[in-house]
Amino acid sequence: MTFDKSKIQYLIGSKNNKSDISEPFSDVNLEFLNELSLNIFKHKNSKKYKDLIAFAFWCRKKNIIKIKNNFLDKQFRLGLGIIFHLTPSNVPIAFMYSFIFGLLSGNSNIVRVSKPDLEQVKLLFSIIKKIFRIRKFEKLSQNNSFIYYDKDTNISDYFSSFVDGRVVWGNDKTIGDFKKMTTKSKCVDLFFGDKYSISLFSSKKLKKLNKIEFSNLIKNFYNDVFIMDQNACTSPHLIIWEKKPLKSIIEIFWNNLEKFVQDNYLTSLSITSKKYQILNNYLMENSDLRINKMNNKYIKRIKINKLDKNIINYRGFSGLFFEYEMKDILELNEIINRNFQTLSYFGYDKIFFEKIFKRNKFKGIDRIVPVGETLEMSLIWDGINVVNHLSRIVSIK
Amino acid sequence: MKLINKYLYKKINIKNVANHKQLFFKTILNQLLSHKKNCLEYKNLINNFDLKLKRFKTVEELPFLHVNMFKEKDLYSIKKKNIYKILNSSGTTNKKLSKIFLDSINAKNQIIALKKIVASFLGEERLPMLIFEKNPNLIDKKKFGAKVAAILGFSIFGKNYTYVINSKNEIDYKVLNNFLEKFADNKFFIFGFTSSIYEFLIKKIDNRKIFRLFENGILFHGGGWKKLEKNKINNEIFKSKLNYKLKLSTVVNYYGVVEQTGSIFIECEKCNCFHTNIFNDVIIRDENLNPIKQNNKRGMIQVLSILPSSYPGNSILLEDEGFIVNQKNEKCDNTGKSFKIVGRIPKAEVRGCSDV
Repeated sequence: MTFDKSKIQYLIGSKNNKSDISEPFSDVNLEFLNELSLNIFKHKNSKKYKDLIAFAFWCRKKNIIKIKNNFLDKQFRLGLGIIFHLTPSNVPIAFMYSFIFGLLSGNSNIVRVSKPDLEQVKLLFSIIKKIFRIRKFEKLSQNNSFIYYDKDTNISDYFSSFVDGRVVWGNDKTIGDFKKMTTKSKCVDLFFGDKYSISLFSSKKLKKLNKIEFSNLIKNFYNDVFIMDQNACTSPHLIIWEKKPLKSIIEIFWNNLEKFVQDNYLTSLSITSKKYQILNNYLMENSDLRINKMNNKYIKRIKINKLDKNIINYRGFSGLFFEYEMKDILELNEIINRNFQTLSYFGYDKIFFEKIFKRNKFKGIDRIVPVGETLEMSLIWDGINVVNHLSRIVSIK
Repeated sequence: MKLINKYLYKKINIKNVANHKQLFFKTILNQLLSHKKNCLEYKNLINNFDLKLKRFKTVEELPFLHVNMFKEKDLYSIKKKNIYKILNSSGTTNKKLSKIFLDSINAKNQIIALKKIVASFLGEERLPMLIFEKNPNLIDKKKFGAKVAAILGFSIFGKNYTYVINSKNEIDYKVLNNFLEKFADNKFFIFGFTSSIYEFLIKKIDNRKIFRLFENGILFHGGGWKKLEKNKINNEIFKSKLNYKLKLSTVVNYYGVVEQTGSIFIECEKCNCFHTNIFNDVIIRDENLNPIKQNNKRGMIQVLSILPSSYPGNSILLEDEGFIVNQKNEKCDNTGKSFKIVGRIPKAEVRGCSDV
């Protein structure tokens, strides 16, 4: 394992990672997150970045305490030690959620940030640095570091060799590479791979909504899809309508979404180009697809007549959807595998899905949430209780 | 007689775009119909978009293919056994290469069109040709990159081909001086990619080592300014440096894509814009893919060419950004569109978490 250590840039924190552990949800960690949230809200430039504001909203005191209360069990837990995070590049501040996974579980963290030059990342770092200077957070600043290095397996190897846990976000290849690395025998790994998400809609319930409810639904769905350009693993690509849907209300739904997108979404030539490329690709590959005739600029809908086993390859981008009319919910059994992550729904309820999932034992789908809540980060991710994984139980009798 | 042959086998003024509008549209439409008939993927695209090609009346309405489709798929409208050669893009940023399938007719037509476009600059006679690239001797005859394709394409205007860059990527002064001594008293042809010309003729060449200057040279260069932007070199500086250093004053910049080899756009000496000619057209499209009618407003470039017959490349949306310039510009006699290239469309920050 030879590499030039100067290739690692320490953006925040020190080279001599100390490993300090604590109980999950320790007071100082909660205070730190609260301070972080307040400072992001306070900063005049934060407003420019929707993702940053959403993050600040998520890590505000009230929400973290709510999350904490959901997690409390009677066990006495402690963190594992140092956690190494390899974080996704396409969501600018996703690395913070990964970091918080490690932090709230009671660990020290080394977080590899993939795009440290983004404006919102720089802003966030300036805020974190400021907070780290406060006396009561001194230890946090010694135990946590944010680093950058160009993709380099030797460096990843190096970090993997001494840490107590790894959280790796990436595609199959990245995860495969990390699985091959030598780690401590007790090292705990969490791999978050490519995921596919879908939505289930009832047109009959859609028809019953009043004006305000309807526009709220549009806004919620917009947030699920467009804040991340439909590029988050939680963004729905396949929209499923129930059997014999009411065609006219469906058109009204999409038309309203189109208008909302037009008023709120900032597109660009490169987004349009990429979307057009993806669209071309699907239309060329298949002989029986139909793009809806509606002359929409933003929303492109491709109707599919049969659920394909490879449906997971049908990914939209920036408002490109695949639509399917489902005859029976059991059809899902044909396509669902472990790569399915979020099912967002409108017009159904919790009990409906509890029944269906208990009866049918689908092989995938880890989250079922109402439309509008797909982007909400949770400490249960991809079906895994992150805090439980990144901490250990000390049983005392 | 095939419509395309009206362009290729008649004496024709390539600048006279205005008189060819209808023929241009009909020729392209015929090509598209033929691709729909002979290329399954293209047929799928047209059918899935629910387009009725025959109902279209203007070039703006014609469907366009995203340029990366030539990377994603093998697209051809001919029988496999008739594939004569495959052109590849040089692919700098993307790993996948474009694959352009040519039959002998398409390849021939490219040459004829290129000849007609370039002849007005070089004349009918072949000129001694100085090439600022390495000799592409060892290449697979069936598969070669855009660079080699361009060199070979332009080589039809030359003779006494002289490659001046040696295997160590340096100027071979012996070879260069030998050429200059023999030919530089009369008109001669210089070819190279914009970045290579910058590197060798502007940055590296040592005037003390050359036998004489290039005042009789005619330089053709293309390939984009991307590498030069870092050094803040634009077209004007580029030209003035060549003139200052080498007395090279005839410098012609062209814009072309491997997907439409042959029907290149030439930059006008008078207005410094690229002009369309009878073989091609340009449409600028906005974020909603609608054509931009105003001058000077930037958008994505769609290029059209009558030439592609063995692959569906007649109408392509590129990943380049550009804009149309006021058409009644100064003294140029061109009746086509005038446009400028800005560069690659700027990459937007992608929001999402699909890969690392």
